[in-house]
Amino acid sequence: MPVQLKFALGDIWRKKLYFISFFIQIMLIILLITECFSLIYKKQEAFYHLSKAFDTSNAFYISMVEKEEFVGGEHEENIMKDLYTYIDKNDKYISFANIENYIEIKDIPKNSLSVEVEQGPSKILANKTLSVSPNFINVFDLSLSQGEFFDASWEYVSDKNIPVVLGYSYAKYMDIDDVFTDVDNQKYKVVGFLQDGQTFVDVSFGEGVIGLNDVILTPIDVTTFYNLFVDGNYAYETYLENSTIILKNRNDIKELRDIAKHSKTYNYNFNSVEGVSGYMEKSTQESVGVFLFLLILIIIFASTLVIINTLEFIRKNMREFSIHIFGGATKKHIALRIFLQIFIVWLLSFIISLIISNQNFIVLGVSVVILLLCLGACLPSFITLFKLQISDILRRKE
Amino acid sequence: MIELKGISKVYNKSKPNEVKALQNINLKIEAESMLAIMGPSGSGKSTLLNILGCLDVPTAGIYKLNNQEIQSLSQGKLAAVRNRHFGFVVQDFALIEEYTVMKNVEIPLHYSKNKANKKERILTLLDTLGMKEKASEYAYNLSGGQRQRVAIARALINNPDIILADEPTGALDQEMGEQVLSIFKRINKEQNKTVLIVTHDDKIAKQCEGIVNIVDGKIY
Ligand SMILES: Nc1ncnc2c1ncn2[C@@H]1O[C@H](COP(=O)(O)OP(=O)(O)O)[C@@H](O)[C@H]1O
Ligand SMILES: [Mg+2]
Repeated sequence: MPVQLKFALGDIWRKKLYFISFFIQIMLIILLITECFSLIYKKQEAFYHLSKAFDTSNAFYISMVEKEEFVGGEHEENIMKDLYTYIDKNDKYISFANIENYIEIKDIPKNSLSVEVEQGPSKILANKTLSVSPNFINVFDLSLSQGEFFDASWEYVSDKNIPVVLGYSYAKYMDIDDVFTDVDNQKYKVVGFLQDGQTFVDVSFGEGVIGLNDVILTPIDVTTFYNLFVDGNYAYETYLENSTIILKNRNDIKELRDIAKHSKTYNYNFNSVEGVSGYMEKSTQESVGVFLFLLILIIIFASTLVIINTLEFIRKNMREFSIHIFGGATKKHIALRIFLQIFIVWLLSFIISLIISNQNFIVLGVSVVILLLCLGACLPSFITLFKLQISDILRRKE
Repeated sequence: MIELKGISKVYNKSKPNEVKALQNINLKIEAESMLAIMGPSGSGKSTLLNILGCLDVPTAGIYKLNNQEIQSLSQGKLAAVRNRHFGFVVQDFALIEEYTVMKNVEIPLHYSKNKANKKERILTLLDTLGMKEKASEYAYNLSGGQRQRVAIARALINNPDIILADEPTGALDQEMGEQVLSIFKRINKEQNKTVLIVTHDDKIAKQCEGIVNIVDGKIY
């Protein structure tokens, strides 16, 4: 083993506490910066995902704003039905809906996939569901690991099982054809499992890419007009409020507006999804700004740390170095020894960060930059070391 | 053999705190001699020793070691000369407190080409200095006299030709001081090493073969 490496290891061992704290600091810095980058990366991935799924400039979502005077009734239901039917039957439009919900499952053992949900004053353990129309599956190109998707022409019948496709994580707990019941005695039957890592982009709430591993997918049936809560599982209104409509031709939105303008209760706003991604972009820029600010703070902190640490190390060990210089060492030897100490600590932090974080490439990039930074931060101490006259070092002990 | 011709050393040249530590020093030191260097505090004794030992370079003049000019060698070459030809002993012993006796003596060997049977060589040397049984003791557990003997062992381990001792007895009591001096005499007589001792003590100086007197950076 090279002599200076041995000395460097000896130094680290002798000043364990100091080096452990240094190690933890470097590791935290690497992990923090990695986390910053991976957040930025995730947002970018959302845009990419979205623009790959469909043309965002031709996609709209509907928001319904109540007019002052609420009328409701059959007239309004008819407008919603017309709107829904027009979109659904006309191939100028592709629409899909995703409706988030929770169900409290009765007869399967509570598992780690259930989450705490507030229900009034109390909390319940419930499982996340996402009701989706068949187009949702096509648009986001979801794939199954087992079974099949529910039928596009599925119709809700209150005393029959609702077919469900379960996220990948459920495969540990359930099998195809398993049946479970929620607290309202609604029965569900497992027809398929998604592949690992399936995702979609939440358009109307601008939350970015959402994983489906822990989600139960259920079908939507909005086919009936009368007694909708008996004959379908979602109302037209719910569907419309949660749907995304993709147009073949941008002008086709006019026909939808024409249907909607007869409403006495609501103002139907057709919002471009582009606006939403614009919002996402803006929020990303803002968070990048905050991250950059944090990054600069962290980097200043880290460099100061290294500068102070190495200068302090040289000051404290001046005597020891001079003893080595008596014995035939040069200042280069000493500089190598200081470098090796920093390098060993860096290497350890790098390896541990790799193990802890799953963003290997980002960790690698960040670590290399941190190493360069550490070396830059060592410069003042190297300059101090090389400017020092040996006779100066000897005089200090007097 | 050492030969100095017109050696000067100026610290902080052309600055307000300029110090002319050595002025036009001419000195010949024969191999295998034992000399004392004397003079008041601040007269330049340590500076002279540092230049002789290649720890520092002169501002002007020629320094010949065994007929080779070495005043303008690179740092790396000077370190090699230091390692091969010189052993240093200083007043405060300059031991690394957290090292054992063994590891302290070993230091010059790390920078030497001759690393063969380190351990035996160190133990044999420590034995001649009566320190063998302390080999695995930590430096902070030793008395002053013991420390200086460890420092002498370290100065000798690479088998240098010249021992430079800067007030080696300054931190020791009378009896210890005499023991250390007798070690230097033995080294000079039995191992034929050149020994240069900076000292304030007349009794020590009298036991040397000659005395170099320095006042205000000049030899008298
Ligand atoms: N590295 C240095 N920088 C500036 N002045 C120094 C340095 N080393 C020694 N001196 C000065 O040079 C003079 C001679 O010092 P030194 O050789 O240590 O004397 P001595 O060993 O005889 O007491 C003193 O005035 C001292 O202050
Ligand atoms: Mg002195």
